[in-house]
Amino acid sequence: MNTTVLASVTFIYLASFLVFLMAEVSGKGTWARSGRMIVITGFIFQTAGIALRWFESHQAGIGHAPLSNFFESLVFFSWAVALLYLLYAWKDAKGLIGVFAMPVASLLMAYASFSPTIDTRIQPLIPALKSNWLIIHVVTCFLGYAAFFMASSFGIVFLMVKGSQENRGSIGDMLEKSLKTGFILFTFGIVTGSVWAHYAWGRYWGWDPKETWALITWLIYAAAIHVRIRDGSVSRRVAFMTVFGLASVLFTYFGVNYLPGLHSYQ
Amino acid sequence: MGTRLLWHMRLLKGLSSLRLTIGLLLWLVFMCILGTVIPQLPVQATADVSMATHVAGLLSLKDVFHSLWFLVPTIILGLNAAACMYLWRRTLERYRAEPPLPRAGLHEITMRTADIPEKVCSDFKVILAGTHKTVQYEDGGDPVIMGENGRVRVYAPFIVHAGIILILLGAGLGFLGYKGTIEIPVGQESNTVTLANGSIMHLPFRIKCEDFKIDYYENGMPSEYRSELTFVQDNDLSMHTSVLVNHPASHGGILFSQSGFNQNPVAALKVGTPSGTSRFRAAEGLIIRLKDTGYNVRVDKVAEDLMRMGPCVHLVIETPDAPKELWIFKEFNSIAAAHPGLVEKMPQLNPSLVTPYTFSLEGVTNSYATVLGINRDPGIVFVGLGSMLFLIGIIISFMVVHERVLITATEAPSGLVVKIARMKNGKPAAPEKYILEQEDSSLEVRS
Ligand code: HEM
Repeated sequence: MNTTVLASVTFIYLASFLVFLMAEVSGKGTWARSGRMIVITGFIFQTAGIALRWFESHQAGIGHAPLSNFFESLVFFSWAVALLYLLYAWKDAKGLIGVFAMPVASLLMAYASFSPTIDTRIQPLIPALKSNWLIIHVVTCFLGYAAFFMASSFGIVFLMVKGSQENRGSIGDMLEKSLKTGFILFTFGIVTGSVWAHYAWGRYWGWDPKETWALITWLIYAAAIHVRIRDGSVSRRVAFMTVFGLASVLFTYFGVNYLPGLHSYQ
Repeated sequence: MGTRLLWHMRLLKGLSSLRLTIGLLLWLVFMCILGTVIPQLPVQATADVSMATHVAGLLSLKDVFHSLWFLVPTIILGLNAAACMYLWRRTLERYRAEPPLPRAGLHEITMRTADIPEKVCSDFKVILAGTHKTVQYEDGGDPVIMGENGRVRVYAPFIVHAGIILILLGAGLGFLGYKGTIEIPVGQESNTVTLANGSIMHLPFRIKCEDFKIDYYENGMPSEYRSELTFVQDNDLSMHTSVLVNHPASHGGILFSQSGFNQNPVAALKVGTPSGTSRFRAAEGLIIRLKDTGYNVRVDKVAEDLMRMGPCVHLVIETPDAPKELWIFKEFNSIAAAHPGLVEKMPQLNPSLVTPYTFSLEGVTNSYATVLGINRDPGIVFVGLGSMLFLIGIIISFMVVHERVLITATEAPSGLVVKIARMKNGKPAAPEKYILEQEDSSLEVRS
């Protein structure tokens, strides 16, 4: 049941993307407003789907927060992207950001729901995953990833917008805000992950490929923050670095699963 | 003396440069990537400890995270942050309690009023006090009102970088500790630790494994591993504790965590001999010396279920002619009944192959050994403290805005001139409207 609800979200987010595209092409505010309403509808469905999955896991007698396998993490990642889109783009909802964020939220759901290699069943937790630290770790990491994703979307827009410094200014502000939000959340994610590792494996850091790539991502964004401090404001260099950071986020999340390690969900 | 001081300052300045920070961070990114694409081999303890091998090890990319390529830049990064914090004291000077009015970025309002500057200032003070912490002082004879918010933001860089330095320090102290594993069969004691580099170490106390249990879900997946342990110090049963995955225990500054387990099947063997029947409990590797003949029987393999034919044990018997192999199934009788002529075809299944003995297997039970992870890390407190400081620091830095509003009034030929400066995180900002709008709009405002 939960997987059906969640699969439908793929199409709702896809629809919002198309509407945001129309908004860009036509330049009409009504399109952008309808797009946002569609995102909200999808977000409500998605939240309900996650809650339902949680409930169903309890019914099956193996109750746990739906944050423990690859499918569940993809769904949560998509949820976090939609949430941050709504939070950031609410006031000056530039459709352009929706054009970046919503296809990604939709693709993540499509991959989760329709890829034949992904097991959508609710599985019981192996002993190492039975930890409240793990829940905080996953939530903060993925919210952090989503914020970094927003920062990089703003970064791409920043690099694309020719116009005046004025135009770029507000994009730069949003970039900086999401960069900082992402850095706080992701740092929190790394710290709680270390606490979990301390309890589960008896060491807080083990240079596992996933851990190392999380550190790489963190270092890139720390460097971006210092470039921002050196340049005095968000510059093209900062925008470039957020895009590199996104590549690192994606590798941390998807790429590392192909290397052996404790974190590979398969 | 003077030049030496200069030299010191130059080094300090160089060490504190932000460019160095960015360069080091990106270098570390590069090394970390190498560490995940080059297969990493943990250093093995060897007898050869010549200087050359030692240096080669420190420069090798096969253990990037313990190589000089990684450690030296990390240390420089720590020094970089320390130098930064040291020089940052001077930045603090800008934030002292009674700052002078900045020269640039002032908003000026000329007021036609008969009030004296002190009166105007104290009016502004009342207004500011609604939203800011205010102080009043003098700068060059003029009264100054300062409203301030979010002063804690000033200390954020200090907290952030102190956090980093503590984490690096703690990670460094971690090198003084050790990591390893200890395997203890149920019912036995041990203090022998196999360290991560392969060498052996003995703990100052012994650990007894009272019990080891695995719980399963309905679908057969394991749901819990649990070791019941007693730490034995000088033959004193000092402490009993359970260790589960995600619930480690600490004793004598060492963290014990449930890392795995080993399963040793044990066979209950019965040997019929001319002089009667003997029974043995045998794990793999055990050698039994038979009475009467003096033959040695090596228990080569014990299986709970071999090829779906039930419990089985593989024996190698040293007879004077040649070693003879025997596969003894618990269910031999029913297997032989189902396959007539089996023993003729496969004599190694014949329990009475080696005269004058008849072997039989009464059953196979499992005996477990728990495998505990051992970690002694003297730096962990620093790492924990540092992480907390760092988190608090970035939260303050990114979420709190340090705001200052400075207002002064002087008498000038054209009237009373009010100067307003507003700064957010040390940068000039436009004064809020409500401050400017306190006076009527006919006022002349210059920025
Ligand atoms: C891994 C190492 C480092 C990390 C993760 C890090 C992180 C941060 C963060 C998050 C900030 C923003 C918070 C703030 O403004 O207070 C910051 C600011 C800053 N960092 Fe670092 N930092 C590191 C190393 C360094 C080093 C070695 C230096 C020395 C040059 C440095 C110099 C600065 C400066 C000057 C600021 C601006 C402070 C301000 O806002 O006034 N950082 N750093």
